[in-house]
Amino acid sequence: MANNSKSKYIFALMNYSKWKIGFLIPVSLIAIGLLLQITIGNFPLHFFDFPTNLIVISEVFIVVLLMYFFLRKYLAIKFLSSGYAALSALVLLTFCVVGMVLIPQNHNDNGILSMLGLNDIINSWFYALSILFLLISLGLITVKRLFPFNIRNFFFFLNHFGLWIVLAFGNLGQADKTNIQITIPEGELIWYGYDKNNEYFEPDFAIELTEFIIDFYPPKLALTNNKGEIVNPKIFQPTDLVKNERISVLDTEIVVVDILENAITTKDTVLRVMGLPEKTYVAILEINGEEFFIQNGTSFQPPVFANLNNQYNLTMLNPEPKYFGSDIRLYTKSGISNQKHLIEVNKPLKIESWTIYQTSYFKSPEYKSYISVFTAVYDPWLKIVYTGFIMMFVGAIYLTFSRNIKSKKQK
Amino acid sequence: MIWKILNVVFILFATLWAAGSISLFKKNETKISKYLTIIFPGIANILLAVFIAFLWTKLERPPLKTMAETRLWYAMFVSLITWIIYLKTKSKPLYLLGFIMSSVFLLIDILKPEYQTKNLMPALQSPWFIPHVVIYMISYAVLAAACLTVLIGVYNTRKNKTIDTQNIILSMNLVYPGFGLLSLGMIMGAVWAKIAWGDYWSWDPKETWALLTWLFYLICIHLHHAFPKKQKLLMILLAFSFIVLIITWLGIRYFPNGLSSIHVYG
Repeated sequence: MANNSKSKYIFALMNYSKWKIGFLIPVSLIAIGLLLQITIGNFPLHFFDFPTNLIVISEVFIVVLLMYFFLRKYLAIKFLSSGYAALSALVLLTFCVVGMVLIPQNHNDNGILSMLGLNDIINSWFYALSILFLLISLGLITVKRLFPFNIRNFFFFLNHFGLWIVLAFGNLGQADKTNIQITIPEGELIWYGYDKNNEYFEPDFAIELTEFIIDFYPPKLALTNNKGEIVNPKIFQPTDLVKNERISVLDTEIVVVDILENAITTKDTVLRVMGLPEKTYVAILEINGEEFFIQNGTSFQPPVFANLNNQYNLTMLNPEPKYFGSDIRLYTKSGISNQKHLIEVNKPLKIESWTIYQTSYFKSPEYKSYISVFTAVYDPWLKIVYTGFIMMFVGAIYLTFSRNIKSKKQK
Repeated sequence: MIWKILNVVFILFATLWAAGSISLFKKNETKISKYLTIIFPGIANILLAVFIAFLWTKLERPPLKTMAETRLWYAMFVSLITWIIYLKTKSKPLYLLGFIMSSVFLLIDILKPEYQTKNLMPALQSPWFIPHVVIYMISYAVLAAACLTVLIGVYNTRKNKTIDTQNIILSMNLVYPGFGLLSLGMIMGAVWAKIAWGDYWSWDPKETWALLTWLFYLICIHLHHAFPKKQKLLMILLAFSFIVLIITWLGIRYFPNGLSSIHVYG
């Protein structure tokens, strides 16, 4: 009898304090986080490179298992494995993300925001602690729901443990990740790049850019007002400039006599120029029996437009790239030499532990040809994070197509 | 030219839905009026789908690139999903709200037409493009229906002074699949970003807002699970989550970090 009332009392206490604990943990984590932030600075992610990250993640994993199998009678553990803790961990993480979208994440800022880590939340202590809290709570809930093992709990496991893996390895795995940008002018061989902090880095390979291949969509004719703004598409929709086609602009018929690639114009004459640093076109237009030249603008040549009337001008828009890719030759320290490859957007090249992406290109007046921009990424934890993604994906399909309990109860 | 056709499509679409609504609220409900209530919006849905298909062939690329184009899909899915929910639940207010919401989004496209182009930048030329955007649009439409349902719930709660549990359950039953689709869209986006840029997650403003939307709905689900009695809080949170969703989709440019996003619509 006495025992019964005692358990009742504990239960009442637990119910009473759930909200409070659920509130106190995130608040104290934020306080600890801010304190660490002020004293130490950003969360030292670089300390967590392999094998430290694996050890830490394994420790959290083992602690979660020990907590569940040996300590689950205790109130604190009961709380941590409850929906209350899940909710407070989620709210804490949400707070961090709200901060990221509302506070400018400008890392060079040196004011109070920087001291509190609020201008770089992703590298802050309170973000790290919120992830830790979530990993413990999420871990405990995942283990708890493994029993009894049934279909619903299986998908619950996929959703929750998948997220656990993504959070753990996606965050701490960053410590081992190297992401460098390599810029190569046509015809040159480059064996180095710069990482996200703009520091020099030499990977295990070198790339020679044999040819940069680029293809453009046809240039477009647009109507602009006297301020140079493109007019509302209701008045005129920008249209492809195609040789011999007729375009009707505000009841005026325009004939596209010719389109010249790699040319510039001075309104009166057209010059064909080879090796221009940027793509230029000249269109010869016939308006009411008279010929006009228009040309797109580049960083070294202003645009040339034709007056349609005293309100509007006919302007050529800069051509947009349709395709770009790089023909390269690859050399590695492991002995690959002069190996031919084509790297395109959305078609990266895997080479040993690196993946090389075609991310961008530019032209500079110093070089007559294009300069190709590659991103090379070394991310040893990718496969594990993807395992988490796949688990979440399957879990999400289940969430989408299964009816939840309430509707079943209702029936 | 394309947008002129949209004017006609919109008038037909709205007329069909309006005709459906009239027969929905007809005093003497007959078998024919019941059928018409269902058939009219059904035809409206087909009409919009045909228009999107037409746009697709005309542009020679999937019409998923600009904001106006995504609004078109959204209007179609909201119309389709509220129609399907009506078939199942016979909820009259949702029928009307679905009609209004899809019409409003079509109307925005008519009043604010965008520069149409066949051009598709290389990064968008990927097999992930269509499933990623379409799944997001379906998810947004399902979550819109969830939000509309909960607003009906709020109205009924205030009117009857008792909590409208039924609409909360209906809303949550939409939140689950909506959230599932949101997760699918996000994971596909991550995998695609990895292939295109080398990172599955780069804390770009659009990505961060998308994560925020995801977290808000995750909190709704867990609040409903852990505190089933906190129904008023849940209703507020469901409505608020949809505001976050709309900001993610249409409004990030108005926030401090928004304009630096590389995911702005072309």
